[in-house]
Order: sequence, then C-alpha cells, then structure tokens
Amino acid sequence: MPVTMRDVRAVLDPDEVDYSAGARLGPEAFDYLLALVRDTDPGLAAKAAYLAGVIRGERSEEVVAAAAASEDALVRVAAASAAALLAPASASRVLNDLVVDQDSGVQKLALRSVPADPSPELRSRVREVSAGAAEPGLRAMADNVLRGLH
Amino acid sequence: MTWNSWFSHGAPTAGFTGGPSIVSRNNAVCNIYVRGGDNALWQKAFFNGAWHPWGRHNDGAVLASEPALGSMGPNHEHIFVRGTDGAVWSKAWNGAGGWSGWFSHAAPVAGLTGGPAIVSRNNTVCNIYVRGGDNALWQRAFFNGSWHPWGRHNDGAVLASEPALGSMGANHEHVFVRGTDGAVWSKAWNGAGGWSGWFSHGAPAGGMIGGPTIVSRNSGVCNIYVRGTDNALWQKAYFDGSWHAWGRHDDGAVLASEPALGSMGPSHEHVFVRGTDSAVWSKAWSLVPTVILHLKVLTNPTSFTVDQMVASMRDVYASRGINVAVGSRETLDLPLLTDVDVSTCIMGTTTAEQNQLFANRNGVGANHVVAYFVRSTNPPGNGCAAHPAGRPGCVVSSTSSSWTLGHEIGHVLGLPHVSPSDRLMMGNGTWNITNPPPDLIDTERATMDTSPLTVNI
Ligand SMILES: [Zn+2]
Repeated sequence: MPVTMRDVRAVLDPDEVDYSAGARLGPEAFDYLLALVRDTDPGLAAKAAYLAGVIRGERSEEVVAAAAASEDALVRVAAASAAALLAPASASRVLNDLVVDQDSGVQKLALRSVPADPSPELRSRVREVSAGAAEPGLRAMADNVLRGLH
Repeated sequence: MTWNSWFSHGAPTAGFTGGPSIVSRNNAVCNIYVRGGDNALWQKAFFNGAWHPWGRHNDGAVLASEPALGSMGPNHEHIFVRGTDGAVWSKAWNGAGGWSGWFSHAAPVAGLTGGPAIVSRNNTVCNIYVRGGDNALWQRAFFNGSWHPWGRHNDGAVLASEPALGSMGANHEHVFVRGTDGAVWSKAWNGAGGWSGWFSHGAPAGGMIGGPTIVSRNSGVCNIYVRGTDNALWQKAYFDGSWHAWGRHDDGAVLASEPALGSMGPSHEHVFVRGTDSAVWSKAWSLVPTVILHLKVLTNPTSFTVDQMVASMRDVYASRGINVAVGSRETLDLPLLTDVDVSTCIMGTTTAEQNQLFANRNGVGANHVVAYFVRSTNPPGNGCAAHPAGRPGCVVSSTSSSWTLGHEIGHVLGLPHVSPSDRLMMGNGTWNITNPPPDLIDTERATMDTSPLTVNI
C-alpha cells in the first residue's frame, strides 16, 4: 500500500503524536512531510519536521532543513529537536544557524542536538553561545555541550 | 456549594413563547416545559443522568399561557395552563399510566389574567392560584380526593403579577406576588394558624420586570428570584430563620424572561430562564463536582485565547454536570521551558523539564489541576497530560485546538482515548472533532467524578 497524505495526517493529527509508530510510514512519507513543513499551519509543520527526523531516511535532512528555515520559531524548535535524529554531518549543517537563532527556545533545542563530533563551524558557534548568550541558562548548556565534545 | 456555569438547553424547533417552566418529581428527574411558538406544549427531560431532546406534546392542546408545573409524588407530575377559552386546564403524568387527557378547571367568576400557578405541599393536596381579572388572588383546591370551587382571597391585596407558589413543609405553603408598588409581597399558610398577613420583601435596587419566582430546596430555606430591570438575575434568600438582602448575580447573564426555579434535592436548586438567543438556559447551585483549574501561561496560544479554551472545556464538562472553576491565573516568564521536553508523553513518566515546569504550583491546592500553556512540546504535540506524582496537570501547546485543554485535563482525570470523532477524548486529534461541542459519555463522566481531582463544592 502506497503512503498517502491521509496516512501521514492520521499519524500527525492526534493531540499527542506517537512518533515511533509514525516511523513505520517510511521514506514514502517525505514528500508529504515536506509539503506540510512548507504549509502555513505551524502546528502540523512542527510535527512533520520531527517525524522526518524519526523516519531516518535519505531525505530527512531536506525536510528538517526546510523546517529550520521557517519563519515560525516553533517550527525551528522542532527542526532543532529533530536534528538530534540526523547523521552527524547532516545535523551539523542544520544546526549551524539554529544554535545562534534569535529565539532562545530554538537555541536550547539546537544545543541539545549538537552531535558529539560536530563540524568545525558548528563547534565554533557553540563556543560563541557559551561566551556570549544573553540567557545564562543557554551559556551553561553550551558549556556542557563543549565539555562533551570529542 | 457553588453556582455552576450557565448551560444552554436550546429550544423547540417551533421556538417558544415567554419563559420556561420546570419540575422535578424526584431527585433524578427534571422536566422543562414551554409554550411552543406553535402554542403546543413542548418538553425537554433530564433522566438517566442526561438531558434528552425537545419533544412536542401532540395532543391537540392550544396553550394561551406558559405552563405551570407541579408534582404530587416521585412518580407524578401535572401541568396547568390557560386554555384558549380563558379557563385553566390540566393534565397529569404518572409512572404507571403515562399522560392523562386534559381536564378543565374553569376559571374564577372574575376571570384570570395570565396563567395559573400551582403548589402541592404534600402528596394529597394541590392548589391552583391565579391573578383574577379583578387583580385579587383566587384559589382552587384539591384535597380529600377531589377539586373544590374557586374562591377569592378577600384580603384587599391587589396583584400586579401572576402569583408564585412554594412550600416549606407538608403543612406550609406561601404565595408571592408583585404588588402595585413594584415590590415583592408574600403571605403564608400553615395548618395550625391559617393565612398570615401580607409582608413586603422590597425589590432589587433598580426594580424588577414581571413577577417573582420562588423555590425552597428544604424546609429551612426559601429563595426569591426575579428578573431585574437590568435583566440580571436577582435573589433574596431566607435561611437561618430570617430574610437577607437582595443580591445580584454578576455572572453576565442577560435574562429575556422571568426565571423558573426548581430543586432536585435538599442541597440543590437550579434556575432556568429564556436567554437573549431565545434558548432556555439554566445554572445550578449545589454540591457540584468541580475541577479547580489553575492557568499558568508561558506562551499564549495562537488559534484561541486561554479564555476561549477554558470556555470550550466548560461547555463540554458542564454538559455532564462537571463544573470547571478557575482557581488562579499566572504568567510564567520561563523562556527555556516554553518548548518543554515531554519525551514520549506517557502517563507516569516525566522528563527533567516537566518536573521543573510542574514544580510551579504557586497558589495551587493539592487536589487542584494546573494547565501550563507553553509554546510547544518537544517532540511536537498539541498537549501532554503526563505529570509528576502529586502535581496533577498538563501542558497545552500554542498550536492546540480549542478542545485540547479539556482533552488533556480529561486524561489527568483518568480518561483514555476513544475512536469516535464526536467525542472529547478522541485519539485522532481534537482539531478533527466533528460535532462541536464534543461529547463525554456516562462512563467517562463516572470516571471523572470518581477522580480525587474532581471535588464536590
Ligand atoms: Zn489525548
């Protein structure tokens, strides 16, 4: 049975989404997830971005990156969170801008998703946060991240 | 003890004329009766714990007044109306035989103004009272198994409204009317002393529209209710052996009829009115199962306001007799918790961030529930009801539907997901609810009522 938008919505519409069950949709869901990320409904876009990470396919990064470019901070929050599910190189690309996002919630999730072996660029941005974030909680998180890096 | 929120009962398809009348023949049943826009009698019943649809009495009767209701026992109720011939007519229902035919009680020689009022102080007596065409009080009594002739109360009283009747015991009844001075007046009868003189209860500040309505939920209490000239509900209470001052119900209700009062037990009374939308509305005072909800806002929701969400939740909960009281409201400035980690959102399991967030219980009692309005959950969801032990509550995302709050608190009270899309607890997303407001069913109501987080106040 091919995956349809209806199947994707059946996974994402519940108030509490069961992402591990949704992962069974597999890579066929990516087109729909990308469409939802680009849609105007931020609630669905955020859910779609996260599911794209959970599915762990070749196009996961594409969908999560689209979410990372959203104007809506809560969609970027989902992208930052989903980045933790991407391969380290993909995660580094998606997180480069998100760790220094103007929204502290996005930064929080982005810092938490930094892979143990980040790209040099991402590593230096985490240092920026550690040194200069206005929010003390973010500086502490960034310090923590730096201590855990290889 | 508390008043719950106003609740709409809708209206007959034919609409209705004037205000509603109600009767409870026992503590489990309540019937609303109205004169339909088609002048037929229409009825809406509460039994088996729920309200049922409006139904028309297809018995050919043509009403020329609002109906007056009474009961002479737990399995009996009867209804009195003015007929098109200017006489008082009645029919009765009992559990064994159903509805009788209509029966004429004729009218006072002076005729009557408006419709009848009735009272049964015990199961063997019924009295019909009317405002005569001469503005005197007239009475027709049923006792010793039969109806007796109309009689005039020659006490000089001049009525400016239909009378309202009540009883505070098997040998007591009292009659309340609007006097020509715009005040409420009453006199009482008891088996030992007969009729008292008339006594003024004054009137609400600003006066009232129409006549008074009364109810005694037990033999020590009597409440007078009127529609004020400000169209608010006003009340004057008798308890602890004396009458107290008029008070206004500042609940925003705008009355479009006189109120109708009833009681479904010694600790319960409810008031029914016509609303400005021409529907019947009611609210109840009693020990009501109540969820005390505290609102803690980190980020305001985007599609609905917090107030709209609370109103939606109230709508659904009130339909099953569960009150939602807002205990407090607080803004929390926690930018690093407004995208809160909920992990898999499984009841009984919480993340460090949930523990941190739910520690904010400033002003919250032990049996109270907190809703934390956050920007988002991580992973993304509309809400999550998982909470640390002893800190009941839920989070609601800014992207939630208007029903998510009620849905999540439903989980907190012990409700699981269900499939039908017309139910509050539907598992396929409350944005997809098909027949707003969504339903709660009997067993769900029972679960909620049993929860220690639903307190009777
Ligand atoms: Zn749910």
